[in-house]
Amino acid sequence: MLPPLQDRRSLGLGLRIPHYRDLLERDVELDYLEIISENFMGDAAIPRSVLRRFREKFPIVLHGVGLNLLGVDPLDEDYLHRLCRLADLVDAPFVSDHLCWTAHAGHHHHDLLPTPFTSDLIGYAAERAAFVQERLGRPFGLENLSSYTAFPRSEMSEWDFYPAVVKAAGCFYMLDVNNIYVSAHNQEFKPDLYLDRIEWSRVLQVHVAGHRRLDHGLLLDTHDQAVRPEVWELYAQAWRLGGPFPTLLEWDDHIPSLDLALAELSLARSYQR
Amino acid sequence: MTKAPDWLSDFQTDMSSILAQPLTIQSGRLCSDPAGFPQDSLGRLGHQDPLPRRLAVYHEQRWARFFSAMQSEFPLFARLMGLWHFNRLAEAYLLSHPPRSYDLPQIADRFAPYVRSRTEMSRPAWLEEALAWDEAHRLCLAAPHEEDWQADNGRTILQLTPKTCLQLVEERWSLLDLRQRLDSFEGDDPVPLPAQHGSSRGWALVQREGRILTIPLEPLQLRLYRALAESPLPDALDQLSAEPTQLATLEVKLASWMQLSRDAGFWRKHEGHMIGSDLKHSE
Repeated sequence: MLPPLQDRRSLGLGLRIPHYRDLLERDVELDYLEIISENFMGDAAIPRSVLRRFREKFPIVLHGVGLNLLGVDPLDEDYLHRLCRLADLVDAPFVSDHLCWTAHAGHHHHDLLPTPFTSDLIGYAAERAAFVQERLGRPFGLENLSSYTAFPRSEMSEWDFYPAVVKAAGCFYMLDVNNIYVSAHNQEFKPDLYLDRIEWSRVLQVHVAGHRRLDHGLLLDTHDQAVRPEVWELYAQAWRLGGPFPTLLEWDDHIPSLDLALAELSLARSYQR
Repeated sequence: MTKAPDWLSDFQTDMSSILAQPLTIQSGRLCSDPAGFPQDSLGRLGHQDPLPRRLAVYHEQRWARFFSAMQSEFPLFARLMGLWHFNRLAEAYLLSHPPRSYDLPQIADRFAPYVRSRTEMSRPAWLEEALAWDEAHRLCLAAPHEEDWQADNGRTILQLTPKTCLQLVEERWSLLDLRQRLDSFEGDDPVPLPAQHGSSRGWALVQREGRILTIPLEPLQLRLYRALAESPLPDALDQLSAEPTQLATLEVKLASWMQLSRDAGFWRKHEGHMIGSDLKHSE
């Protein structure tokens, strides 16, 4: 059921510009890279040239932020074409995006936006996810959001909705434990409830990242600092329940040196127990 | 494909109308004010606390991402203007040009024409130049790969075609240097404007081997490449040789300037015209 990545204990890093030179020029202990799909889907020559150089050195998986899976707008055919082309170019072991909407009526918010969780949305989401996976011809993973609110219209919890979509679609989980922690704090649920519902054999990858506490107490998924110890503990719990699984560190702002990022990533090993 | 549940479109319309609201100024910063959200949309989503306050998190996050992307696309312009004023301008621009692409940097595609169309906006020459520099970098970076023009000896040049990546910039302030040093300035205040050059300088930006080359040009060399991008070689040379001093310079340097443009890959493979290497200006 799970072809990628072949070594389930692989550790990966989200590819970011400040690390380009070190990653290309140095020998580093890193099993794979994850790229933001949209950064490489265009026709510009320089990103493609850069990508080819990375691909010669590392396996690359794709992670998107613009599919608009839960949008009302039809799936963007041009987007899908370019995504498939990119996945083929790097021979991506898998592709992932978020269980969310990002655009409406042709206007893009460039944010990962939540919906109410309802039974009539499951089939819609699953059909679109299955269609994307079929088009890609490779495993497609859905990532859980960090969320800051819930809606009165919801009929079920996220930990019921998310697995139901994945199961109905026949696709996979791209599970973000930091997002679970952030959402659990913001919406006052126990993250254990979430982890208990995951079908671990369908987890393509687990994300870890840092978050920040806002003045009014909400946690914001910022990816701008080290992973919090409580998120590592949740990661350890996930590992006990469903490990091994590939683990990837996301660090998008206030990006540290490559050495510091790799040191942070290697902490994962100490929580794999 | 199955149709979306009926409520989903209404839900996304309501939430979109909230997210697209402009920010408000509170205590000298741009932030979200839930009291300003459209009440009918909020009512349908669930107006009881804490929902409005929590929607404000998305509202601020959306605008913060937009501002960050706009600053990345127009760094020189933004930092010379100061981030507070730039963000206000970017907000006005995005309210009139809502993002329509999944590609975040493309939100800035119509920014330069928008700024130039704002006739009421005070734009000193150095800010115009900063805009041109940022625009040139964007266009060079976004260009697709194009095959180099290969000279075919013995044929007559009719017309050279510039690559999409080729951007020619005239500089009166030392803005390219400043652009490369922007990270050394902290804070939101405008960065200091460098001294003005004694006379203008030319630059060519072009893609080469997976990166952007910046090549210094003499003023006449810049005019030559601009003319060649528009006109066949004889016409371009006629335009430039109106003054005797320029004619003398051209005769001395033309071959090396053409060689440089060819080696650096200014011109793309041309189809439909015969192109050759007879680069001498015929009197």
